[in-house]
Order: sequence, then structure tokens, then C-alpha cells
Amino acid sequence: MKEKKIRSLEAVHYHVMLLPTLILLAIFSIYPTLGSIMAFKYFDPIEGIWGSPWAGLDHFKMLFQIPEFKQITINTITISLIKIILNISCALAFALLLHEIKKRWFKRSVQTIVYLPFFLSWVIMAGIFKDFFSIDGLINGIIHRLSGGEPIMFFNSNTWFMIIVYVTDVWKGFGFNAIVFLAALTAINPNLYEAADVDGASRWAKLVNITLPSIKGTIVLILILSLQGILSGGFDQIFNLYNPLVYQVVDIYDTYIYRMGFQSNQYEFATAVGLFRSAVAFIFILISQWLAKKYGEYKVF
Amino acid sequence: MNKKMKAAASASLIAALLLTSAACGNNADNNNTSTDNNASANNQDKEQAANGGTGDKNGTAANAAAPAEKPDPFSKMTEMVEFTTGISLSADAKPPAGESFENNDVEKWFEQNLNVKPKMAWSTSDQNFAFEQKVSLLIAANNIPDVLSISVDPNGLSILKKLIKADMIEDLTQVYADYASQNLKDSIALGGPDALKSVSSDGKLYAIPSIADVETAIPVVWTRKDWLDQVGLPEPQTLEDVETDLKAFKDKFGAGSLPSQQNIYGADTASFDFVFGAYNSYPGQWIRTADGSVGYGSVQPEMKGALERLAKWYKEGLIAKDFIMNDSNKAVEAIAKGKAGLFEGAWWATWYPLPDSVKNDHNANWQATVLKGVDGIAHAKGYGAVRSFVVVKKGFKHPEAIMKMLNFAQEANTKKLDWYNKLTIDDGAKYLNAKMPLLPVSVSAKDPHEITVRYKAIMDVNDGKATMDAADPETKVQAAAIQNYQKAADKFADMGLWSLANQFYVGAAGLVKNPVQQTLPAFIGSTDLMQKKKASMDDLEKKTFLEIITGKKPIDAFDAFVQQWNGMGGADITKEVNDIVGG
Amino acid sequence: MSIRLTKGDMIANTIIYTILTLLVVVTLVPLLNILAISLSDSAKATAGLVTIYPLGLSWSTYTTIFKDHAILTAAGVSCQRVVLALVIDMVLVVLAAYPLSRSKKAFRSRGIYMWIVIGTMLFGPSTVPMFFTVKDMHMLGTIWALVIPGAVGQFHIILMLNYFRNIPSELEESASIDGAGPWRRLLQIYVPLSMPIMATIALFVVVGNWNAYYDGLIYSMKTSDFPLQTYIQQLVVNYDTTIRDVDQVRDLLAISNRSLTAAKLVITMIPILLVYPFMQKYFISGIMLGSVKE
Repeated sequence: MKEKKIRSLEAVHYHVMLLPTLILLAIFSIYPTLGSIMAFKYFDPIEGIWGSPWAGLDHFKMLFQIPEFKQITINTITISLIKIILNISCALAFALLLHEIKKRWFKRSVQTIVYLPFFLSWVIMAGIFKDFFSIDGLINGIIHRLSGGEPIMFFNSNTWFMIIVYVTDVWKGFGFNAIVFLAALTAINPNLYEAADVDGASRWAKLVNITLPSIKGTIVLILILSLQGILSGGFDQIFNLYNPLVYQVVDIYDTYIYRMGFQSNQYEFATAVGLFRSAVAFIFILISQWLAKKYGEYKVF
Repeated sequence: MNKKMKAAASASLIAALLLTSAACGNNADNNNTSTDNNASANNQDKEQAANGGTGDKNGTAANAAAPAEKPDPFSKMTEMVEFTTGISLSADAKPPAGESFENNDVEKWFEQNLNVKPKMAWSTSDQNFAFEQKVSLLIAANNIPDVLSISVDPNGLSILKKLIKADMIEDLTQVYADYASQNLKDSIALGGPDALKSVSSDGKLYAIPSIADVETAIPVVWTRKDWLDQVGLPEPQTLEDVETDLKAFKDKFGAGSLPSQQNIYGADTASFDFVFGAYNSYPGQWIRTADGSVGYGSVQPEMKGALERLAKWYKEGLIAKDFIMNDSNKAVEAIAKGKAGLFEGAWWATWYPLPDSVKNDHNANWQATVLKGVDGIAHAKGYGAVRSFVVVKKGFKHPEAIMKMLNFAQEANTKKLDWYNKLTIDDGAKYLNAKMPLLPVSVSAKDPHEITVRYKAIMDVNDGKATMDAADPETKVQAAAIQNYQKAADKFADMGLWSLANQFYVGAAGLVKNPVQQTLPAFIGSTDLMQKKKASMDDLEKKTFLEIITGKKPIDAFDAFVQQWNGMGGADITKEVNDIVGG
Repeated sequence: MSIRLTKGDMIANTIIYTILTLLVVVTLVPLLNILAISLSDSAKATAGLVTIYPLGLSWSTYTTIFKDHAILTAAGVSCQRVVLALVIDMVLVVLAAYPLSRSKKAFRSRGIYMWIVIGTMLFGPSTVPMFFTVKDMHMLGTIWALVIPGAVGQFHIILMLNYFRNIPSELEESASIDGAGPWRRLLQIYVPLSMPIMATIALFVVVGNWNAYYDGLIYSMKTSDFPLQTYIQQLVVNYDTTIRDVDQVRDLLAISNRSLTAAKLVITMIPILLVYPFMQKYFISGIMLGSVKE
């Protein structure tokens, strides 16, 4: 009885601790999110969001009438998924390689250098990459020297363009993404390896039997966390790199909204697209949670 | 880039200072040669509150709600009028110590002599559409300042439409009739009847437009004379000449491709506008078609020839294989590097991109010309005459105070105000690199053929046919620059002087070599359907044109595109536009 | 962990070292390019001639920057923002993570709160309603507009609460018996034991706030209130629109200064480069324990 009383007394303190966070969330997250109701209104600045007349599903109808909408949805999902998979596997591979290194100074320097690109904005990086992959750029120069072949027009072709999108995305993120894996790797009990050495296990065997199982949880966690950002990322990169010839394969919700929205400032319409995107994202999150529970025996929250 | 009308004032001031500080003294006297500015000339007298709008026919225009005060375009307000406004500022704006947009010599003059005081509600960057973004967010939040100056490019007229629809701005019809100075009215009239119409709705005037010269839009072909001499070719006159020159440059200098970029039209440097112009085609522009109706330039049959020519050039390697990845800055790299001897730019290319080329290679001798079209006549696109406009918030008590400010701005921008010239030029060294607007709110209405007129005036002074003293202030500035440049021992020590001197001497000279037939837009602005559908249609257009040029699709794809364009809503939009223009 | 290396090991090691060295090169080349441009003559930079070493070496860009009060003002705004955000965010995250790390038994409402935190993480508001809210809170044009709306880091709360859960409960129980209430337990046991995750989250907050540019553009009402990244963003000019007036062209002279822009980019990166190596140690163990639950 007494214990229960203490508990409810303590719960009061817990509520108090949470209060500032809740107030801020209510004002700056929940309330403005409710403003998404704009997607169902004809917005009139004088009346404000709540007073504007209802539009029903007009903006959504318009959305589905856009000929490219289906393609854009497919692009958004594919690009996001492939980026997630590539990012995680490259970061993991890098972390595993680095983990094999025994020289501390080398390990440290490599790690410190490769995380750098994460902090650079795409506006700048896009310019540099355009130089690198241009006809007379560095990459074509190397290709020419190695094979003597014709220069590749990286930015005109759907396939090459997508490869560039993925490669540069990995380039920018792998160092930073690897941090978590490196952390997980350092936490593996060294006794496990020592025991394996005694048994005469090969490097590969140790990797498969000790290393990977030990960091399985981390891999699943990162996978799930990245799924949550699935339909939002990539705007800065794609917007700064793309051109009309590759719209078909590379146009995503955000780039499309930008082109639509900027021309005509249709906030209601942009909000409708945003809502639709959230709904799709929500489905993905549910799936990822389910997957995590089933295969990772892991619950994030 | 700098899309704001931000300081047309401060910009020309900079140019003016480049040399006034070096050369001519303080002989800014008020004997303007033009005839219609008697009202302004008197305004140097600070105590002169009302000097009678001699040119104004206020008796006939204004009778409704006529105030006790007789409408006078330049008189002092009886009580202090404060107004808020939003401005765009360059990232490297450096106001002189202690001064700001709200507090500077020019502003003080207005405060003391007109009883009008600006208050800066907000400022934002002049880059990357920050201003447009801020304005449209503030419109959505119903929180616009009392006075706003909005540029037409890229979507000013659709913002205006929004403001009118939401009933957020004042109807300025009466104020304009009563209080606009004759000089301003006359100058705006030079922009043609459409100038006022494009900022009106239902016969009511909602904004005061700025009128720009139309000749700036003419695409100029720049060639390196030193290279032409070496390969023994004359200055190009036609598209065929361009091909010959490029091929010769390729053999001799390894510079055979035309600097070009993904904006194949409408950009003022390294676009293909000169090719489209040669075929009398005007993509992206609403024009009068042969049958008298208004049509969209990109779907007119003339386009086909131009696209075919470009596809041929691309195939022959006269256009860089990966031009679609270039923006202007990237496209002009070749020029700075000495890897291009011919490009399309504006008449003012001496400011961009030529300085870097000349700095890297002092032998580069760039000359300008406008090509003759395939029919032997030089054709060129044009912009709408309206460049920007000023709106006043609904409920603002004294719109006439703003109108008066604009009257003064017009005088100031044409350098006809002695006190203004004195503050900004003679005593204005501190504003040299300030890069901030000095006039609280500004319009500038210019002769649409300002460049040609100015060029002749400058050359008359230069050739000794007219005297420097008799020239008007702007001509004086330019002519003096040319003289200073010719006197300079090291021609490249001061690149600002190089750019200024050659701007008219070479650039404008190229513009007037061949008589140009300009096709001005028959419609600028935005319709309801356009707001909904134009973005998708533009995507399709861009993609198709690029595919044709790069040889991914045959030229016949153009016909399919026209059909698809009409089907997507182009036909309906065209009808809408014709209703507006015709009605 | 054997000392003697077999031949296979040697080959494997060589391959690993080679791959990693290549990765470092690939990472560095674009960065060296920026650095080289910042130290080059501007006309050479504009011509696209600079690769990974400077042409016409000059420090003038950097001296220009340090004379330019606009960039210093912007850096000041950024610093102010980072400090405020750091304090506020950290307090909020610690206060929120502690109750949420309690078991359902100890804190019955935990579930609801957890859903609020996660729900708001997944569904964010769009620009326009957000702008209205900031305006209605009278924050437009103040530093608070940059700090407060994003002050609650839901992801950080999750990291922190997972870390808290890994702290052995015996510690807390014994404190409880000594009569320590929730506040004292949090401040005297949990916080001191959580330095690695605090450092990690602090780094996230610092980097996130330092690099953010969009909110600066939207909520600042004066260019002099722009934080550094917003200011920098405005220098990377998209020169593609049309000039319509003779008078505007004079400003074009300024835009071709590619080396100055590059130098400004380098400058903005420096603080992050300085902070990270010191945080790296905590960072690794912090994120590790924060993310993984047994």
C-alpha cells in the first residue's frame, strides 16, 4: 500500500518533469500540425487557416490528376529505399574494415577524415560533383586514361545519373553513419575473439560467427531509424544535381512540390502533398516496426 | 540574380562614383536639357513646400473626394507620415557607420522636406528568391508592410493577383491620377498602354509600375576579334557565320564549342536565344501570332527550325555535350579560361562574364553584334516593359505620401535632383560600396529605348559633336568613363573602369550595328489555369526541347509535343489569355 | 588478436589498408578543392582551373573576411543560437527522458507520453502553419524563433531514455531507500552517469543548430539577424534569372568571386572540425549505449 502511494507521489514529479516538453510540443508541433487542415480548404489570408472556406478533397483530386504523380511516388520510394540500403551496407562494410585495423593512429585519422563530408551542404557539393563528373572532368579523365574509351555523359543518362545520386549520397554519409557501427564493434567482448583465436578460427569465421551477430541489434536499429525518414530526405541533393532530362527517374515529392509551389505559391496544394507523403511514410514506419519486432527481436521505443 | 529593384539608385550611384571621384568636379548644375521637369528643378529649395504641379491637369482628373489641399505631386505632407516597408539587401551590404536604411542622408531629406519617414519592417537577402518567399509567407500570414516593391520576375504578377484577390492592397487609381507627377506619368506612358493594364484589375490600378528599357533583352553575340583576325574571318552576321567561326576556332585554338547552359532560353548569358531569335521564334513568351491572336511562343511552328539547327550543332559538337548540367556560371568558365571565342550574352557583358576573360588574357578583344535572322532581318525577344511595381497596403492612411515619394524617386533615378546628386555623388563617397537602397521606395521609369538614345548621346560627346557640359548627368558619367579609360596607362588596373567604359563603347555599339526588330510579349502575367497547370507543362516543354537538341528524339517529336501541350491545358490557357488580352 | 601474421593475413591487411586509404583520398579530394579555390586567384577560380592545389596563392580572401562585419555578425548570431539551444535542449531532454525511462509500473502514464513524443516525431507541421505559429508567439525576428520551435528533440529523448535504462537499477533502488526523491536521483545518479550520451546529444544539438539555414531565412526579419549558414547560403548564387535593368548589372562584378565564397565555406566548417575530435570519444560510447537496448 505504502509503496503504491509513494509511486503515485513520484508520478506527480514525473508529470512535472515532462511538462515543459509537452507545452513546447503542443505549441510548436501539435497545433501547427493541425494546421494541415489547410489541405482541405481554400486558403484566404484574411480569414486565416481556420476561417477559410472548405475545399473538400479538391486539392487531393488535383494531386491525383497530375500525370507524373504515380511516377514521382514510385521514384520517391525507390530512391529512399535504395539509399537506405546502400548507406547502411557501405557504412557497415567500412566499419568492419576499419575494425580490422590495429594501428591506432591510422584508424583515428581515417575515421576523423571520412566523417567530414557529412557536414557540408549540398549546394556546395553539387557544384563540385558537377565538375568532377563533367565531360572534361576528373572522372572522365581517369576513365579515358585507363580505358581510352569515350567519355561518359553522366548527367544525361537515366542510369548513370541515378548511380551518381547514390554514390554521392553514400560519399557524404558513410563516415558519419559508420560511427554507430564502430561504437557497436568496440563494445564486443574481446574474450570472444581470444577464444576464437585459440580455436584457430579464420578472420572470416570470426566475422560471421562473432562480429556480425554481436552487432545485429545495432544494424536493425539503424535500419528502422532510417526508414522513418524515408520520404523526406534527398531534396537538397537531387534539387542541386538534377536536370529536366532525368526528371522521369529522379523527381521526388519534394522537388516536385518545389517546382509546383514556387511558381504559384499554392500552399494548400503543397500541404496536401505533404499530408499524402506523411500517410505513405506512416505505412512504412508501421512495416518497419513490425519487421523489427519479428526479426530483430527488438523494440525501439 | 539581383532581381529586386533594390537600389537601381545605389547601383548607378556606384558606377557614377567610380569616376566622379576620379575625374570631374562638382559641376552638377541644374540646367537639365529636357523640357518636362520644371517641377523637379525647383525642389532643391528645401523650404519650398509647394511649387505647384505645373504639369498636372488635376482639375480634370481629380474631383471625387477632393481634399482641401490642392493635389500637388511634390508638396510637403502637413503631418509626419510613417510607413513600414520590407527590403532586400545584398549579403555584402555595408552601410556607412551609424547609418542604415532607416537613417541616412537621403532618408533625412525626405523626413525634413516631405514629412515622410520609412520604417523597415523587415529585410531579407536579395538571393535565391528569399524576398519572394518572405513576401508570400507574409501575405499568407496577412502581415504585409504598408508599402512593398515587388519585382515582376519571377512571379511578381501572380503575387499581385493574390494580393488583389485577398483584398489586401489599396486601389491607387485616384491617387495616381491626382498625385503622380507629369514626368512620371509621361515616362510610364512610354511603356505603352499595357504597362498600367498589367498592374490593374477590373479597371482599377493597384500598383505603380517601373518601366525598364526593352533593349536589354536583345541577345548579343560576342566574338573575339583577335581570334577572328588570326583565322582571317570577318565578324559573324548570320548563324552560318557562327558555324564557320566555331569550326575555325576549334581547329586553331581548340575552342570550338559554344558556351551554353541548361536554360536554353530566357537567361541572359549563354542561352540559345540568339538562335531562336534568328528563326523569329520566342519560346516561353506570349506573342501575337500571324492570325492576330495571342499564342505561346514555345508551340509556334517557327520553333522547329531553331530546334533542328541546335540539334545539328549538338551533333557536330558545336555545343558542349554536357551543356544541360551547366548554369551560367559554369557555362562561362570556358570564356574565362580562353576556351571559347564566341558566345551569346547581353549588351552589358563587359560586367559579366568578360572581366575574368580579360584579366586572364589581356589580348582578348571582345566585340559585340546582333545576328541577322534566317530571313536577313535581325529579330529579338523582349521583356515586358514593366519590371517591378509598388503596392500600398489596404487601409494605409496616406497613399498620396507614397505617390509623392515615387515622384521624387523618378526624378532622383534620372539624376535630375540636385540635392540627391549632391548627397549621393558629390558628398556620397561613403555610399560607394554600401550596396543598400537609399531611396525609401523607388520606381524608375525609363525610355524603353534608353540604350540606343544614350549611346548616341555618349558618342556625340565622345566624337566632339556635343559638349560634355551640355550633356545630361547620366551621359556625362558614361562619356567621362570612356575618356578616363582611354587616358589610363594600364587599361586593366581598374576592372570597374574597364567594364564601365566598354559597356557602351563596345556593348551598346554592338546592339545598334544592325537594326533589330524586337517582339515584345503580348501578355505577361498569370491566369488561374496557368497557376494550376503551367508547372507540369513547363516540365514537358523543357524535357522535349532538350531531348530534341541532344538527339534523343527526332525533330518530329516537336509536333507530338505541341499536341500534348494543348491537351494538357495549353489550349484552354491560350483561350484564357486571349480573353484577357482581347477583353 | 594473434601477433604472428600468416601470409593470408598480410594480403588481407594490404587490401584493407589500400581500400581505406582510397576512401580517405576520395573523401579529401572535393574538400581540398574547396580549400584550394579559397586560396586561389579569383579569375583562375572562375575559369575552373583550380584542382586540389591553389593557383596564384593568396590569403586575401581570408583577410577580406575578417574585415567583413557581416560575416562576423552572422557568426555571432550562430554562436548565440548554439549556446541557447544547447542549454535549453539538454535540460528538456534530460527532464523528459527520465520519466519516460521508468517502467510502466512506476509511471502509469508513460505510454501516452511516449506516443505523443513519437507521434510528433513522425508527423511534423508544414512551413506555413509553422510560420503562423511562430508569428502568433511573437517570436518572428528574435533569436527564440531559431531556438524554441525545434527545442524538443524527440530522437534525442529516445537515445537518452535508452541510455538511462541501461543504468543498473540497483543504484537507484539504494538511493530510493535512502529517501532520495526523483529529482535527486536524476541529478545525483543518472546525470553524472550519463556523460557520454550527454556529450553525444550535445554534439548533435551543436551541429544541427550550427548547420541549419532554412529557419534562419524564414524567421529572421533582418539580414543582420541571419545565422552564419543562412548568410553563406545567400552567397552561393544561383545566377540564372534575368537582368532587366542596366543599373543592376554593376552588381554582377561581385558574384564572380568564387574564391571568396569558398573561403567563407571553409570558415564555417572550422568550428565543427574543432569540436568533433574532442567529442569523438564520448560520442562513440554514448551513441552506442543510447541506441542499443539489451
